[in-house]
Amino acid sequence: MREALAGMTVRGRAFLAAGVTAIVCAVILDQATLARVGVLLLALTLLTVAALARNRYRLTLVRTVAPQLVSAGQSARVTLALANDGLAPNGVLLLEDQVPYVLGTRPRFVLEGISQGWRHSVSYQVRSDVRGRFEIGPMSVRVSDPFGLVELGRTFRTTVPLTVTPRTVPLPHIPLGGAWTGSGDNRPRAFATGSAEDVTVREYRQGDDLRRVHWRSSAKLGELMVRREEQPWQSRATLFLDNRGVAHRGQGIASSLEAAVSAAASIAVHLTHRGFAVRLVTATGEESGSAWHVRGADLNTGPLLESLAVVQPVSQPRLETGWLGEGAHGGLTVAVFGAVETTDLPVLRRMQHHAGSAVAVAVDVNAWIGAPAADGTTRILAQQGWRAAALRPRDRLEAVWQELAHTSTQSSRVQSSRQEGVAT
Amino acid sequence: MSRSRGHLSTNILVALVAAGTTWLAMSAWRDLTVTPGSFLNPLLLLAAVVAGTGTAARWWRWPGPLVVLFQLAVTGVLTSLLLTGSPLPIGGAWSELTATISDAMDTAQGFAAPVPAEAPPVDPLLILGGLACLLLVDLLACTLHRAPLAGLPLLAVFTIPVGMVGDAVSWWIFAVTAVGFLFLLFLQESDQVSRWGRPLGIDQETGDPIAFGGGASTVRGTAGLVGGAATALAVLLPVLIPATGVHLFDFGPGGGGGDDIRVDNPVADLVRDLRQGEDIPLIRVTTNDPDPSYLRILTLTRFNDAEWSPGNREVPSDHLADGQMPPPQGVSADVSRKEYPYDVSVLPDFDSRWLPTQPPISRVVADGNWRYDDKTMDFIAGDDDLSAASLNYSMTAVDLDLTSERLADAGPPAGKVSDIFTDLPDDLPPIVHDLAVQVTQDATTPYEKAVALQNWFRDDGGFTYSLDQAPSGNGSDALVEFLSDGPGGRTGYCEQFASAMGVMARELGIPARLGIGFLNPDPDGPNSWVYSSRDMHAWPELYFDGAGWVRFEPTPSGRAEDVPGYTVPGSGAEEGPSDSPSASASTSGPVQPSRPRDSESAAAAADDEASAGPGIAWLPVLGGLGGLLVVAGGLLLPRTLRSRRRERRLSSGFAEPIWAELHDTAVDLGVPWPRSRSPRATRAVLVEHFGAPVGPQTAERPTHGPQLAPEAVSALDRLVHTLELDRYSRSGATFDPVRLRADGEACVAALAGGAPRSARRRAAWWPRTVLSSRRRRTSPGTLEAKFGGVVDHVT
Repeated sequence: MREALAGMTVRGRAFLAAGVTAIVCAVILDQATLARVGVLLLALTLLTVAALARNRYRLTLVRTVAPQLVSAGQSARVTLALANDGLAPNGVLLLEDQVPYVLGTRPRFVLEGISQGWRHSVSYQVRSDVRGRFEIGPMSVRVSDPFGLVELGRTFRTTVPLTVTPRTVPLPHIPLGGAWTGSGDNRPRAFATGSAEDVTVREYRQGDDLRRVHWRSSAKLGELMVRREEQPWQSRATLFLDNRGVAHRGQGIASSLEAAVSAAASIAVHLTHRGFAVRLVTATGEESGSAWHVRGADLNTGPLLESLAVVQPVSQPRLETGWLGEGAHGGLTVAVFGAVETTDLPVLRRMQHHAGSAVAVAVDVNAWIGAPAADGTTRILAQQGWRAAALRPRDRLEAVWQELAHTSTQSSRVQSSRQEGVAT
Repeated sequence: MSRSRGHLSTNILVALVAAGTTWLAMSAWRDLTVTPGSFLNPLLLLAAVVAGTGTAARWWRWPGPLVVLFQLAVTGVLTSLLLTGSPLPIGGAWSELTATISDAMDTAQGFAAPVPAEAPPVDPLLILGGLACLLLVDLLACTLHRAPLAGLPLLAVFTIPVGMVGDAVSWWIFAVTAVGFLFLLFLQESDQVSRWGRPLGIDQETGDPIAFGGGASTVRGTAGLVGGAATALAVLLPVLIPATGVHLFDFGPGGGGGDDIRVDNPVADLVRDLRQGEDIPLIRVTTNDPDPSYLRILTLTRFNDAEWSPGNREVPSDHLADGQMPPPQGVSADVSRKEYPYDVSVLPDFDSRWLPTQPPISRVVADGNWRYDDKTMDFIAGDDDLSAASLNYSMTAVDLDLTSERLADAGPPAGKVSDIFTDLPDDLPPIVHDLAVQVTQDATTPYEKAVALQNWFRDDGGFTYSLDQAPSGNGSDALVEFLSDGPGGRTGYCEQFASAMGVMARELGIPARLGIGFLNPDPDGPNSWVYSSRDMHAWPELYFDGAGWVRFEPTPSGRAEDVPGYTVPGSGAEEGPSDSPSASASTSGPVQPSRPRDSESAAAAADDEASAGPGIAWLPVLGGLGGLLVVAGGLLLPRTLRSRRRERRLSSGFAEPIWAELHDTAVDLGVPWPRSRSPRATRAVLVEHFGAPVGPQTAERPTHGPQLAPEAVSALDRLVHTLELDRYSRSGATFDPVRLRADGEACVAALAGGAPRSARRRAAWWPRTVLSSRRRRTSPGTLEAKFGGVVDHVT
């Protein structure tokens, strides 16, 4: 009752005040008509409050979002299954799903006259042109009375996440010179260094040596397990994305960072489909959850794209280099750079040094704010031993990627001469 | 775009309901004329036109001002056609229109409602006013979508008959209008709701159903139920509220509305009755009072330039003539008094709205809604059709034993009586004041001045009693004419004498009023007297502190032979104005020998004194005591209930009631009681709140813990053990009632000892377990279930 009283609208409060005033005036002036008006207003408001305070409905909501991971521009469908487990509400329920405005208009529904046991489901579409991770919900419920005198607010609590990944384009197959790296049977690796081999046992197969049976695991699982000593060769690639704020220009969806993220996403998908185990590294270091794992290509792209979906510009001025010291020498490194400062040169050199093959897409960030095209970054990268190509606002990524194939000879020549230089 | 303007049917419905409600409200104007159809029928047509034009214009999505202009134009033409017969009020039609309207205004000002059919009709005014209301309601409710505001013009419609006819709007018109107004609100709110949500329908992209289509029947049911109940309450409740009948203010004679009391001024009758030849018997009284003279009908309290008038009266509905009356105002308790019972029988010819009494009186019993005004002790008919004619009633008159010494010693009257008894118009001619000062120049006290005035009127001033040559009325002009010493001056009858003395007494600062009534009845058998129309008389009553309102007699002996005994200085205890038969020409009854009133037994006087003084004050005292008792009972009841419940449980001899008592004590004291726990787990919580038993040196917020009350802890342990045996063991527990009771008391005392003083006080005076119902509202889950909640699951 107190809540319903507190939930009175301006109209309700005005009616209440007018009713009391009218009754007082009626008593003073002895006007029966005024008393009637006062009693009408007062009784209407109080009865409405009482009716709403007596509400015994109990709404349940089951919310489904499919798919939970969509590419920018694709739509996802949210399904709401509502049921009333309590009694029919005395009033109108106004439902509004609190969808981020990026995903479209907030769907609103009116529930009138839902009886006990009523259930219904409704679905609506959401789509976003902006990558990111969005929470859909919670659903808010406004309980209103037929005369608009009281309005109570309720809200469901839970939300559903929806991840919108960057747009990707299929890239042509170009020679990348990535190395097969990994550890074999004869080269056991420390598990802590991020080996693909976290599981050390596998099921017993016909022909396995009995000496390799891992008795502990067998006892635990109830079937014979053997130690897994052979390790598959793995084709590894490191995808580096420079997401420093200082390295990019522009704001929001039109910024050069978005182009870089989109390029990185396309490259990630491309590499994964070519059989690489790809890990994502940003200016803040290695992205958790995107370390090298042995998974199918489709399984591998998901976490990568999810990570890329939430990449935000960071304010740190220097690139994090901790990921370089993990003994992951060799392998393919594909980097998407923004503007490169002279302070970054040592890092670039180290990255190139660590990589078996270093390929870079240099986003010509100044072109995003209208500056004429310049290939300074590409030249710097080439001097550091990278195979680099510039990406400008009007360039298609496929073409730039193809361009990398042409620059490969020169770059590898530079690289080889540098390596010779280092060797001598 | 149909969404923003809604369905056509809804629009038409709203406009029709708005216009219909307004028209129905205007049928409250029926009583204004004899032929209500002559304005209601045109207004019905206009209502339909307003609704139709409004709907059409809004459907064409015209802007708001244009809609109003369109409606104004169409209805204006129609009104002109109805009133003048010409569609455009130009030229002759215009003059005809203005003439009709001015005629209607003249009629409205000249005739009281209902306006008779012969008069020029007021219909044009009503039609124009009604049209304005129709347009306003349509503008607010339909064009601006502000249905609540449309209630204001409707209220204005209701106020017109109240203001003009004085009657309340009849209940069915009110009910119909209220229902219409609420329907309007409901329609507008439904419209708002339908605009808020998505429309029912199919998603164009996917073909999925996109909204929840629930039938709105329950909402409509709720709306109907709430609206209907509110309307019914509004119709019924004001009838039941007695407070609406109370007069807090009185706006002069005949002011106010409803069941107001018409205050007649019978002074005009006085003149007529005195002058007219025929002597009609009016009232017969049976009494053992030896001198039943000066039977008063009413008092006149207000003097303005035009006349003496009864003034404003406060007659609350509980001041009924049904028994004991308040003691006479201003009479000190040591004035000895006698009481005489009167049986009054009013004859059919005395059609009065005032009940004649013999002031001062101590008791009146009369049938009917006779109410008295405690300032003047006049009795006024509470109902319009109530009359004293043919009424039989009884009263007890009090004969005060006033002496001239008492009057001479009276203190200043300032502040003892209302200011209205000394009010005089500002522009009173100065001759009145000059004469008053001149006449009383030798007198010092108010009493002496009053006596001087009386003597001046009766003997020294050279006044002549004459019914025929008197100035008419008792206003300022008549007063000056009566007082002036020229030809035709100083001649009058009782009305002039009384009013002049009253005004002059007021000039001298003595509160004064005029009594109108009868003098010198004719004897009609043993102990029986008859008052006739020729016995009508007027006299001034002056207020003296300690003696109350004291009657004087300025009218010369041609009419009133004697003056009251106390007005003769030095007359002692003897009031003794032996009543001689009226000397007026018309009186023809036999001479009634005078009998001094003090021949009555002294015992009666003693009885009267005993019963009169304190008897009246009992009612408020009893009421106050009763109220106090109720309040005290209300305060003590929870405490009593709680202690009885505790006593019952403690002496039950079983463990469960004592455990329940422990729970209630904890709840009362605000000590947390874990829900759904075993006794042992509860015990662990409880002992933390134990404290030393309450003593004189217990702190405001005492410390608590198990170490403070070891014996209570062991008592609780025993209790828990017994309870566990009782609940869980197969053999059950054996109870030792004495031990159980002692343990329970120890635990309760320890709980109280550990609680802050405020919590103890609350537990004693306002125990929650008694006052709140047994429903527990602790977890949010129950709260949701109670107020309606939402639960969500997400997959």
